[in-house]
Amino acid sequence: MKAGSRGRCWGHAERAMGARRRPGPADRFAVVVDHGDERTIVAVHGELDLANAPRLEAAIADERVRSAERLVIDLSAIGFIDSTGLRVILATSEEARASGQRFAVTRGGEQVQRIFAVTGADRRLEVLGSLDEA
Amino acid sequence: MTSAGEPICARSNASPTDPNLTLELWSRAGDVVVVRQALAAIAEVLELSGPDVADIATVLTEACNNVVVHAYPPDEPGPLNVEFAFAPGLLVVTVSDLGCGIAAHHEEPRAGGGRLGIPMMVALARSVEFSDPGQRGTRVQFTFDVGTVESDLLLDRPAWTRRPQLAEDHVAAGGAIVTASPGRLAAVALARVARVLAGRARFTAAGLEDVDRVSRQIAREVAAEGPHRALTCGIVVAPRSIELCTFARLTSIEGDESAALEVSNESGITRAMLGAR
Repeated sequence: MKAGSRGRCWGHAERAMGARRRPGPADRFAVVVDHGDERTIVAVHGELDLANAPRLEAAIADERVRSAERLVIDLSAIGFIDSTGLRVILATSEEARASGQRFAVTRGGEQVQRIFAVTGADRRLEVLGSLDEA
Repeated sequence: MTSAGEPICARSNASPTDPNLTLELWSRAGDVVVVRQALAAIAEVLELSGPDVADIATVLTEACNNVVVHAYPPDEPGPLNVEFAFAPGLLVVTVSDLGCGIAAHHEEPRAGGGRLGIPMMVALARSVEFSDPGQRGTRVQFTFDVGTVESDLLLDRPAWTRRPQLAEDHVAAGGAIVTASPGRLAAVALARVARVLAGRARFTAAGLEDVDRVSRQIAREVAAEGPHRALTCGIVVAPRSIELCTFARLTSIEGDESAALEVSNESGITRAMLGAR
């Protein structure tokens, strides 16, 4: 699209359009890592999708998380998961298995459970009913 | 593209796949959530149950992810278009792009568990149809069972819209173009899409309420022009402000006392500038 094809009607907001968008408060995605004595819990809040999955990946790549004896990803506060988010979880599970780390996830909401069932992920992962079982 | 002075374009003859809602977006990860918000608007007017909406959201997310990840070269993103059409008992959704074509699309990354997206789409939609629409791009059409669709949502005649001169580079820079009919869908869809874009522009709760109110009033005004009048609205996003731009007679917003809102009307085009507050 050529710059000259811009309509007059789009004028006002144009000035600052060059700036990159950053996730705002409305995204409400968060990853909270809790290093306990016996296990490390990585709690995910919000929508674990293509836009947000890299943030979970980065949190899990941390040395203290990788070296924990027991790692639990808490999915109970996730509103939505897509295949990108699921891929991060499955990759973490495979790496944990390879390094001898004990790995589990907590059960997510209905949409998460459905995706786990449809993809067979629920048979490949240790799925806990709640963090109390961790 | 039409010029601002010759904006009337009839849609194609009404058919079961004539879209009720069209989103013109860009192939970026953050725009997939816009599609889910538009789906929430569809779900609201169809009164769909939570699990049904979740399945449709999953399918559309995977289809849009495919466009974002695979359709275009990494440093040359392009259009992502999504159309929702109501038919008796069905919702028909088409996701399309102008990228490298269907063969390349199917090369999904295998890390961490192999192909997941396409099996999810196939398992959760009633039907999936991949097609190559011509010279470039990919088109995927899904149908979903949605129970009764109220008669006012089924287009029995071609809808028509007036489209301001909308530039693709505004969509590329974070905006969107929404086209919708009938009015009750247009109001909800524009409000939801504009809110999610405003949220990214760091709007406060009060600012988001402004966006909601203005979107619904714009949609109402446009719908009042006739039963088959569709709304086409461009949304331009800038840090801490958004602009809604559409053909409408609107010159002010009811009950507005906010300094964060500025409405103008020139040559029949209403522009509402909203600040984040």
